[in-house]
Amino acid sequence: MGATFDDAVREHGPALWRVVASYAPPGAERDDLAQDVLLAVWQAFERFRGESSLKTSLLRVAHNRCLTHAWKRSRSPLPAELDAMPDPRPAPDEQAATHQQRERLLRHLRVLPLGQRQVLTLALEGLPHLEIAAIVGITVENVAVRLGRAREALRRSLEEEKR
Amino acid sequence: MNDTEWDSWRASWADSQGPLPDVRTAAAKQASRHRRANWMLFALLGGGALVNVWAAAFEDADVVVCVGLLIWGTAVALGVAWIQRGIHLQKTAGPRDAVAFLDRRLRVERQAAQLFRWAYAAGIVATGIYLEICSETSGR
Repeated sequence: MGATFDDAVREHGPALWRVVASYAPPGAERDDLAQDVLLAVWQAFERFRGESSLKTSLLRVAHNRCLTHAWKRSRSPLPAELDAMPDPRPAPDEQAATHQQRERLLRHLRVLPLGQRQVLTLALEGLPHLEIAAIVGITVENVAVRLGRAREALRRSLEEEKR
Repeated sequence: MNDTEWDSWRASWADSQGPLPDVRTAAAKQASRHRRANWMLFALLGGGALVNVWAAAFEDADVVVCVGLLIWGTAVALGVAWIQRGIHLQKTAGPRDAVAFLDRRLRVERQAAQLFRWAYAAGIVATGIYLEICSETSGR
């Protein structure tokens, strides 16, 4: 394996951040989860043997850590008003609209059931069904079914907000 | 759901990125802090021991107090060294070593806090007894 941890984070860091953002709202929770995920990726990096692509391996680790986070959070949920709080960090003016659009998509993704969210985020990342199936641990047919439902659920959720 | 909508989601998704913490630097920083804290502690204990020896030898200091402080400092130094055995500070090159080191450091700090608590308590009790003996002796 030629890539170093730093190279991997440089190349796939944005994808890891997106996974984190699809599980945690902006703010301290997202920062904490990002740190957890990075630490898990760093620990797993030594064990990476090139059986699948680096991106797939990193996303698998990130998703597993995020699922653990989601499970823990379901046992001690944050108050709803905290979850809905906007990110206090200001976005630059020219990027504000795009930033809002991204956060809107992420916000709607976060309310999808875990199974659908996992498949949808990996599909948005551009992974083929076969790799998604390997990461999530389901069959390719199941990926297609879940993805279809997830897309539909996301579309409905976005439309409901517009009304 | 049409392809245009999916493409717009994907474009929005691909654009999303944010800051990620530099865990490697954080681990290195923790190891360096631990090393500095150790140097500081042993320098303070060493400095205290030298002052005690100097005060007992060349100043009109109470030898019992100086010896007591020396014993206290030595006990703390030995305790800290004993607690830190096997911490393998040098092994932080790999991620698993670094994370394991941070775990061990946390454990060591908890044990060191206990050591200091009991060492201080013992020091205070010993000082109290000594002062009582001194006041009784001077009262006679």
